Amino acid sequence: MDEDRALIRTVDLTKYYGRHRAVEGLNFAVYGGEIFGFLGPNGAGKTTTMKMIVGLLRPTRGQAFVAGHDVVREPVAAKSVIGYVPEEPHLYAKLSGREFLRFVGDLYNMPADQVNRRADELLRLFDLDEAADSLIDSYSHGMRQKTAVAAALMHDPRVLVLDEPTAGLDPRSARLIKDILRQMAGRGTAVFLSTHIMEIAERMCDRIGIINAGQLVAIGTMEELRAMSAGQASLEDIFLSLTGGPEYAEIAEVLR
Amino acid sequence: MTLSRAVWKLLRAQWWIWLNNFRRARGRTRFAYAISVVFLLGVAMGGFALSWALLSALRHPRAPAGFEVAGSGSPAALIESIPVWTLSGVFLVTCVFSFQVLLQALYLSGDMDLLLSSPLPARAVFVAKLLQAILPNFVLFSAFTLPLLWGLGAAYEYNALYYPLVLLLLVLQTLAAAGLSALVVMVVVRVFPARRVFEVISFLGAMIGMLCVQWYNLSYSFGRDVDSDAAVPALGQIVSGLNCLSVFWSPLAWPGLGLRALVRGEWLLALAYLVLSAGLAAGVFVLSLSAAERLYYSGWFKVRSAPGRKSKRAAARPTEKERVGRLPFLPPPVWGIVLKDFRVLRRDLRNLSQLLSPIIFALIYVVMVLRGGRSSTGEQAMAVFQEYSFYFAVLIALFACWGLTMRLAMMGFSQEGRNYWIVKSAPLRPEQLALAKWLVAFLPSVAIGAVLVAALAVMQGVALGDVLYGLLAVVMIVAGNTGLNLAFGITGARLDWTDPRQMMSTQGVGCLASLVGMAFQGVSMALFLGLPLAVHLLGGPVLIGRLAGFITGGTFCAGVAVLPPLLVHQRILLIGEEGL
Ligand SMILES: Nc1ncnc2c1ncn2[C@@H]1O[C@H](COP(=O)(O)OP(=O)(O)OP(=O)(O)O)[C@@H](O)[C@H]1O
Ligand SMILES: [Mg+2]
Repeated sequence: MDEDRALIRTVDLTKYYGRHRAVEGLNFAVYGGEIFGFLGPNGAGKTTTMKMIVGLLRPTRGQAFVAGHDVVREPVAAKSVIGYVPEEPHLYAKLSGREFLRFVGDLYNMPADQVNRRADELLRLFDLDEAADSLIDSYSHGMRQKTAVAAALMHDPRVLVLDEPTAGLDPRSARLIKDILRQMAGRGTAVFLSTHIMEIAERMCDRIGIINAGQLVAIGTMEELRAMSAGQASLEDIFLSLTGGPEYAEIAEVLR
Repeated sequence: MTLSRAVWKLLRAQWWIWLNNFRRARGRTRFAYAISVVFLLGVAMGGFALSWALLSALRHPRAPAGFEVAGSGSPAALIESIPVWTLSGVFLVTCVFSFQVLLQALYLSGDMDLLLSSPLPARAVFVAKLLQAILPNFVLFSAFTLPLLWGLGAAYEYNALYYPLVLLLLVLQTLAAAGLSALVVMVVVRVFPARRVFEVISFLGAMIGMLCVQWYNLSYSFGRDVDSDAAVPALGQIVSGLNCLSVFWSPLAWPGLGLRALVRGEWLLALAYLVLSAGLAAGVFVLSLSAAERLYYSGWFKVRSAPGRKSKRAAARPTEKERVGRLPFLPPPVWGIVLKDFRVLRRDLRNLSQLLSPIIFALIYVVMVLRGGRSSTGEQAMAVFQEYSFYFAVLIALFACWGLTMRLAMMGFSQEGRNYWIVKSAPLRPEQLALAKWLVAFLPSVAIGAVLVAALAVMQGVALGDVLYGLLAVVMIVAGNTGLNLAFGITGARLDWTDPRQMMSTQGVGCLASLVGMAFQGVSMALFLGLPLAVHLLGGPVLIGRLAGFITGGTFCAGVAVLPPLLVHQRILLIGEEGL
């Protein structure tokens, strides 16, 4: 694929927390119109990578480009095309859902009339219109998660970065988000999502990257991954053989 | 597992957490710990020596004279009742203070779910939580009450049994009080959402604390007409009120009465009182604990405020008109943040208490100034005061605004807390963010300052020119103060707080900000108000003085309003990743 279409590109992206290595030398690209799945065991560095791409963490070394803009050097240009859903949906507890979405619309410099219309649309879409005027304080975890996704969609971003977007959602809401992401990708948006659900990765993602202990161990389409780890049929097996899991003997020992 | 072993395990885990935090703490924090331990020991020892010395002196035959005046009967009776009111006092104060601590420990600390789902007996969890919650208060109160009571024993050469019994009774009183407090917490939480209760309690606590601090000023201002001899009967009233506590039918007094009987040598009475009070305290503790356990589960689901309850106004308003229009000259993101901050500040009572304090403070001073203006004695002083009263009023309005500006500007960024990712990942330049936070602090402060100045001007009948000049000075000085404190707020911002009081990364930043702020206020007031005054006193025309004051003061304030935040604005994008 040609480099010009890359909406997210990382060059030797590295992050150390003090002396602890979280992410080391990541090089990959996510193109417009595709859904890129980011897999890896707990603590592998997925959240850290995403935070660097959206400009929440400064890389120790290397660069991240979003729509051609260096996130560190031209943060405003890069951030204005990103929609981001964090791992934990911390939102202003003392705003109502509607107020929060309008606030996000203002932050992304949207025209005033569009802000109102878009907020109402999204609230209806995510089945939040009942709760739209009560404070986020009173929302359940899933409702907060949906509010965070809605906020990320407010300004119709060209790049979506989602850290486990379906965690804690009911099947209907999870399905809704999957459908939305598919449509967004169909319209040319680059979707970069991390997940622990193999079914999502296998069925939805055009390409998959697997990160282990801070380093990218595999990247490619399902077919390419299968070819790489000869013989393994399911993504789960590929994932486990690449990232290493406990042997059966150990499991038996623990459950003795 | 037995109850005591389970409690022991839980407390040990807590100790480990504390130890880990201590080990990881920076040298300065450890030093502060050491200093406070030494300080507390010093207070305890000093208290012991003081109470010993004072009470010994009171035994002196000539001493009772002072007490006779107080009209409280014999001094010996008063001194013997010291244990009574100390122990009752500890009980009441522990009851009140434990409420907030327990509310937080039982309902708002995230680990209750984990602990209650573990196979530990639920009672052990409660006991451990209770102990953990009251221990700091207990240590603090003991540092004051034990020296007093032991000093009393030493001064009057009480029976040796007295000393351990005091400690035992103190522990029992504290436990019983905490048990009762826990019960009250659970009853309250059954009805109201815990978080809301916590906010209300913090709010009331802060307001009461502030009023206590201002009490002296208030009483000074309102009570000046009262004859000062009134203090003596008032003291007598307090003493006789305290003596009321030591009646035999009040369970609160039993421990103290037992001690009194002990030192008088009435052994049987002492034994009866002490057994009765110890039994009662233990009974209250156990009963409230078991009742509290049963209540706990029914209150648990009320931790969050009830869902679906909408603010009635928001629901009734047509949604399209709800929106406050955008200002043409401000970028929408800046205006959005300002609006958002005002909403959040207004709706969180914990913040509101911090915001209201300076306002009440301001009102108290206004009242004082007005009363002071009238009751001033001496014609000449009166005339001078009349002439310069307006400058004086501006000074006071400024000092009143200062608290508000400092709170809003310093905490502007810390306020965001864990939600900072929302603005940090938005396409905002750091200057815009700084501007928004600057406005959030500046607008309310300047509004209050202007209202104060205008109100004072109307009440004192000041000329229009004076008012305008005063307003100008207030606007500029508040602006400078905002810039200064904002810069400190940016450098000291901290996002991982749960209690608004922990918002700054170190106390040092706040302290430094106060000092620098004070210096800034001094200089800018000297320029704005002192310069015209000097010119006036030298016989120069008013206009020249004011022009000089405005040009120098205005330039200085504008510089301070803009430069410090500009100096540190690059740090804004790094807030929350210190050391990462
Ligand atoms: N604030 C921090 N300070 C120090 N180390 C951190 C911090 N945040 C993450 N780490 C470390 O960085 C590594 C990567 O963490 P990260 O959160 O990126 O993992 P993750 O892949 O998102 O895991 P999960 O699947 O559990 O969400 C981990 O080893 C973690 O311990
Ligand atoms: Mg993660």
